[in-house]
Amino acid sequence: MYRYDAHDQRIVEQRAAQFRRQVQRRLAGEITEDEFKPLRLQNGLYMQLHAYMLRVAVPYGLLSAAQMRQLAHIARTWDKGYGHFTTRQNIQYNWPDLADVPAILDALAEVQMHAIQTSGNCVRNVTSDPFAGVAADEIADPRPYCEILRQWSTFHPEFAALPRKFKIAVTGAETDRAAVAWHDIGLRIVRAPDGGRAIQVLVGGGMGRTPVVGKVIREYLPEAHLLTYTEAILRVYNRHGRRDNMYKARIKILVDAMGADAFAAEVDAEWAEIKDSGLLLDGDELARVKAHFEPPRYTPLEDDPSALEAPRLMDPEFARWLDNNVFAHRQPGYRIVVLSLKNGELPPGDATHTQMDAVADLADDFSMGRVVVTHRQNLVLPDVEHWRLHSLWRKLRTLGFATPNVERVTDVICCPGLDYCSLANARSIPVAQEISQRLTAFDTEHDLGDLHLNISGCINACGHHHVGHIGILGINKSGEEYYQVMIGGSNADDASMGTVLGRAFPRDGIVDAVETVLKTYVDHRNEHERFLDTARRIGFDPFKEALYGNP
Amino acid sequence: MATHESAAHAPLRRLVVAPRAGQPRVVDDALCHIADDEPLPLLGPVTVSWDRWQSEESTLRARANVGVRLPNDVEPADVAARIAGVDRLTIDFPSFKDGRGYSLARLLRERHGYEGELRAVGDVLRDQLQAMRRCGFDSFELKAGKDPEDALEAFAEFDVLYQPAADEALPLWRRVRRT
Amino acid sequence: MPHFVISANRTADGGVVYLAGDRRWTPELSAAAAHPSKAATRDGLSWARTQEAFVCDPHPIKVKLDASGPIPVDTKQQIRAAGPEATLAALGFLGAQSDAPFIHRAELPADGAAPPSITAVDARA
Ligand code: SF4
Repeated sequence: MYRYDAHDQRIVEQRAAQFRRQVQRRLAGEITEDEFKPLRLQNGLYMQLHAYMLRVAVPYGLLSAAQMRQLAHIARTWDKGYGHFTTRQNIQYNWPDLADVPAILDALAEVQMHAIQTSGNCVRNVTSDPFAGVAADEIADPRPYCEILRQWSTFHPEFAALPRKFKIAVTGAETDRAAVAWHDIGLRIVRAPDGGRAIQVLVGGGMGRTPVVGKVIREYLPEAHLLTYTEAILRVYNRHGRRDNMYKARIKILVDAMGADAFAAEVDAEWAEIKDSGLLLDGDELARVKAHFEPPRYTPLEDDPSALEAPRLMDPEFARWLDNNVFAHRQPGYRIVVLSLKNGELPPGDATHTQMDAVADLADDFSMGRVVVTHRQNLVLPDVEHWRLHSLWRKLRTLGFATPNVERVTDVICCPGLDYCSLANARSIPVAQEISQRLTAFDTEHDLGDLHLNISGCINACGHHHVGHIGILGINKSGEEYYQVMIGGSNADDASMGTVLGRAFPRDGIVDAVETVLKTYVDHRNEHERFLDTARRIGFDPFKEALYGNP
Repeated sequence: MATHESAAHAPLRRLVVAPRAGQPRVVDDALCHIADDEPLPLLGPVTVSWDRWQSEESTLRARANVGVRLPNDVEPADVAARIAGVDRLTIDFPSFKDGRGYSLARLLRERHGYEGELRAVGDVLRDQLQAMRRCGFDSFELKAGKDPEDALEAFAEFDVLYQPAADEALPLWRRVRRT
Repeated sequence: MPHFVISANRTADGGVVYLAGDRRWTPELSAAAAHPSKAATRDGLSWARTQEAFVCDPHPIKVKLDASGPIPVDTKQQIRAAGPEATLAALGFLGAQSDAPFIHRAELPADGAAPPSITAVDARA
């Protein structure tokens, strides 16, 4: 993984020092909350319902064991002993004291981490494929591109006050696991017609109030132009994006208003001016960053799945886990293991400091010291030798990470909702927990298969409800919590938006409603048909009828 | 936005300046921003709005020391076409959240070769000064009530620059050996 | 009859506080001063806005009065009033979660004593 040089290190240290002075000015009453707010927001520090919340960047989701241990240390020392992994592959701490935040930033800087640009109207943490570098279907490792973008966007002086936040995602695989079509800019490393590598560029995707699928504005961008072209897009957006209405300020609104072709033409005109500027990536810089992501030294292994047959037969629970939580690796004899943070007890995505320490140890012991945070709020051990899976599974089980539910109905994506978030309309965590308690058995009985259930506590869509196969959105009806149900969304290559089925349900009716939707699926599905495919085939009416009766 | 005092009783302003080469410092400044319905004083440095410049350019060119106040949404090429010989421009920041002025500044400096004074006015706060300077601003009228001496510290907060901008044509990786 | 109380978050740690009748901040909703209308909160609010070093974003919230004191009308304010303990317990981070020790944190005195001075805030750093 990328290791900071002295320059990278100096930036995060200077940032921590700067924030320490800003906090001192705030606590001394030299600056008002209104003036402090944009400063703290540039450092990922929000004010939530009961406390401050600090969001720490996990660039493209990748952590070393040492970094994971430091995250545990921070949770233990300056928070209440746990953290929340987010749908943007970051981690959030829910209870820091303002005066402690500079110390937390120092602790992060010690392990080459930071909270820079994790909020505010700037380029945010770049996200990527959680299987980057190990996926069997990878064309190129996306992480060097992410890291180059991270450095370029860090304190970019021109883009310090964009119309709105700006999210970039990069994937290098044939299957899109980074939801690139749902980002302000989505980049896909592809094979160019000449056989080389190029970058397909999508712009204007996003969720929130106005969900839009991103549009391709360039099919084959030469990789040397990663930054020149991105800078051209950002400049067009910074100059022309709307600033009169925060709900219309994302780039998707600009792209939509101009039309994708006109937008692309504007970007091209700007690009023509800066194409040959100093930002053109020369081979040396690409090679320098790529060298940090060289594959580790794998042990040459014979891939022998039959080695797992005995434990698989003896232990159906292990077999279920193998089938659901273990994925193909491009190196023979290795597997990618997903640790489920959805065991139904803790809120989805939460981990205690002891669990984080334990994951760090497992990463050292089983996965060459690496852990990845996924946008489904789980963790990944990317490099596990397949003959050690059974022993790993036993350890994961005692830690509560072996729930065999990855990408199943109980692997709920869930934002913090009204338990923490000051913008929320409704709680999402208790709904996710109830779903997990009530539907685990139903899933086992009916084998519901691949099913994404996503919950957001408000229209901001941090829980990605639009792209859930089943999406739940918390709304506020005269001060009370209600929930809309939508189906048919997807954030994969078949990107689509969910459709609301009808009137919202109160808190005590929402899980029943989900169960009704699932029963309807079970009644109508063909053999081996995913929920999403059944819903697309039979349409919404059978679901509406089951939920609301005949009109 | 521009103040409306007439030159005769304009108090000296404490102005932060950060020349491209040299230390940032605070200086006394007598520049007057003249409103569109006000006559120009006979002497002294003044600015006029971009609208007024466009409609009265030839008269204004007859007077020395006239600068132009730009809103942040003008086309830099339109400006460049009409400001030959002008050596003072201001760009307005209606709110610190409105970052269009950064792009405009870079384009005037880097694409259109503007070399005169470029001043940030409006909602200018200390924590933006370094980004503004990097985009090509070299003087800063802080928002009323903010201490310019204090603000000088802001320029020293970061000294590693990843990206090229108006102050630096090359990205870090072309300037230093990175290991 | 709806009443209104003034609430804010402490600058030091973001904790929820309410304005009591003697212009002190208290974490106890039961000790908050209730006003018969939103308009009646105006004086208190404008005073509260001068307390920026101690509290952020003072705002009125709608409550019902019952024997135990004010009770917020909106779910959001009920959750804020129930406090982090309720949230943490509901989320499994209190009590049973034996592997998650909690760091002792200084709290404002519950009796509505004066807010911590700046030095007191600094001393906790
Ligand atoms: S979706 Fe809404 S409730 Fe959930 S975290 Fe985002 S802003 Fe808060």
